[in-house]
Amino acid sequence: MASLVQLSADQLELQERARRFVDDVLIPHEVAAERAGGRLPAEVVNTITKAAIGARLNGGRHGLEHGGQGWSTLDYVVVHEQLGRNTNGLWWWIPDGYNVLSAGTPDQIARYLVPALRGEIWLSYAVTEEHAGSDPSSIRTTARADGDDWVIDGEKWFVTSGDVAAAHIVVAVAEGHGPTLFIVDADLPGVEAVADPPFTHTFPHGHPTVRFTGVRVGSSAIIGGLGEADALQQAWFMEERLGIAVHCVAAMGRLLEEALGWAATREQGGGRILDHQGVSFPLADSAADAAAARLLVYEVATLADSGADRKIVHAKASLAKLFASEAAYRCADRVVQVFGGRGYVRTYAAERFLRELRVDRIWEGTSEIQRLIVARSLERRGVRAVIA
Amino acid sequence: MDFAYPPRLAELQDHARALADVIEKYEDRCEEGNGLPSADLALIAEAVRNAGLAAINMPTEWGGQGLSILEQVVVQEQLGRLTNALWDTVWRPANALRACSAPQRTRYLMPCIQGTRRDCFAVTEEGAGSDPLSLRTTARRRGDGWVIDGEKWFVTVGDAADFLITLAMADGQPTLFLVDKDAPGVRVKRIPRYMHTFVYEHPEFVFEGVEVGDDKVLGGVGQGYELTRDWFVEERLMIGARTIGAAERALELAVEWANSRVQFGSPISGYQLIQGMLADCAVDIATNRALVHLVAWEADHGLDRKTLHGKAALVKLAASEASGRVIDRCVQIFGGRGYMRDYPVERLYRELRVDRIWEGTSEIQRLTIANEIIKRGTSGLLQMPRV
Repeated sequence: MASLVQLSADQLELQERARRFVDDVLIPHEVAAERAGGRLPAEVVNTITKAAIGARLNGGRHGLEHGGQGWSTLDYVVVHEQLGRNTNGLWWWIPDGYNVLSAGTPDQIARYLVPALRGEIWLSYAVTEEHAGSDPSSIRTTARADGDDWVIDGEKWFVTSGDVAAAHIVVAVAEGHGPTLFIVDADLPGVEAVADPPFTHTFPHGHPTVRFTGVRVGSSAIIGGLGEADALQQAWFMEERLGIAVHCVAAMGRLLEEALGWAATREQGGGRILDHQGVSFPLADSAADAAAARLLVYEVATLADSGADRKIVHAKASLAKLFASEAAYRCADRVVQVFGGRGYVRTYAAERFLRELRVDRIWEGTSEIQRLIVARSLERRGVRAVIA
Repeated sequence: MDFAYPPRLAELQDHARALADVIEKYEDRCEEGNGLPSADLALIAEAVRNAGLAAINMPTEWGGQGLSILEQVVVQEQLGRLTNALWDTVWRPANALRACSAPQRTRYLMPCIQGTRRDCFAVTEEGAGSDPLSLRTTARRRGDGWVIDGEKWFVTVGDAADFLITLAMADGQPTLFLVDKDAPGVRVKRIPRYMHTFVYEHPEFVFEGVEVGDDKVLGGVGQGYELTRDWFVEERLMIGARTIGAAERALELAVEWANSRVQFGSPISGYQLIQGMLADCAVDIATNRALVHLVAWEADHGLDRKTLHGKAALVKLAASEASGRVIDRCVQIFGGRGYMRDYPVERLYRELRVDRIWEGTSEIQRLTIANEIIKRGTSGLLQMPRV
């Protein structure tokens, strides 16, 4: 079958492996995770991480030499088009490590990346602050040189997995060098979680506020060199945005399956509700959203692997994130409506998706920030480069 | 034509706002505890009585406040500002209870007006949601009484209530029964968790061979749909009022935040994307507030039942959808904070979603409106009232 999305035999095998993992290992835990406030018991988590490693889904983008799978961007999209089908962020239990760690020293890789990919430790990424959200140039966390050491002071918000992390990757402004990444062990003196607020979704880990007070680290904690944070994070942001976009594509697929399953069997007023246009047309709109977003995501992934201009890939990843997250939220909203009262009950996937998808329009750059990036790139890179 | 609030309405609005401000202090505790301890509920009840806002929809001769629909709208709009559905702690017995016989009134309605007992409405079933005609709960005639069997879903306040106004088919005729919660054969099947964190629960109830006498029939055998419909009409107008109150609070908070939040060197209220969202919110709130007031006024001035039914659907559809848009924008303006449960906009976001579903989904309201204009023309719903 000819398709714009061309997958190799290996990729089809990978897709099938990821699909089975989601269906057999993750989805059965959704309702329990919801009831438990996201935090599954240790033995269940252990089963999931072991199964993920067994299915060779851990550390996907990282090199084989570090215990990853060496996936291309397209491979990554193929897998995450499956992983996004579960609710409660259960895929988050799959061992992985932030891609900036690839730029780490051999010692950093051995101490942090390798154990993270084995599922032995969790890591977190601490970038956002109370006054630095959409505008990262407002970051106030500082790293002051003191002999061979650096002393870090500041407070980070929305530190996903910060409640369980063995170490935090911290963006701090290093005196005289600008934004720099430091890897900071969570048990160092002066590192403390000061708040662990509840959020709309029910997620495996918290997103606590973490404070760093006079935290002393050696220069061995610097990732990729002084003042290199912005350059290192560019690739991370691109991949995160593409990841969100493909999760949204996956969510739309599952939402449509759930909605169709319900609407084709639910009878009211003597007939199936699917036979009412008020129900079926919103599903048609959702299918259009899902199909368009899917093509867009695959195009960006292919472009990223082709060695295209990174700035254009970056702009297109923003475009994909903007469209897919807004589209997925529309779909979830429509599907909740199709489920009626049940769509408001937490044991139904539609309810959970609605809450979970809401943050995809906010994190890793709000929809408004993506619009800024796209609008600027239209002028700087040209219309054809952005849309073609 | 005079659109100004007379002193009585302005005073009522102030009282309701003052009460809302008192109850607002319980929001965080309610969110953290998924409900409130009985000591807090008792303090709120005292505040409700002191504010003179208990049972606003019931006649003064029975101890209620005897407010007109318009006056109730003014009150409900202020209470709608509250998160965690704390507006529901300000009791307003179901209007179907007006059909109580004298002995029923003593036993059921009066204590509900006084706030010493609580009613709840058991209508929806697993197979009967948008289509109430699919009702399966039955009441079979036995001797001088009835035996009720069935299951009811989404029974709001079912946990705090003392009795259930239960819709059942009594030998083929839709009928409301007053069923005591502690009657043999009545049990709670499940208490599902919902998207919102509501001060009360919405349990599922099972009725197994529940025996009641004729004295438990409310308003006569066969009156079930009519009485339920009256309740829906009133409730749809009040949803319109409450959602607008909620949207207004969200916009106030969003404006305050947008003016104080500095990113890229200036308050975010200086950016056009934010300004556009704020402006659209103001339009949604202003237009729907006017609409809710207009229809409430008409309800007080002898609008016929059929037209009122259509207009209540119009109000509920318009206001709940508009408030859904408003809260979505306000969450967006708050960014990551809009996703945190300790911010009122986050809670209002989860709570307002159900107003597009309960008491008839938006889709059902559209059918009601379309049905009205196809059968009887547009003038009933659209023309301004004339003296």
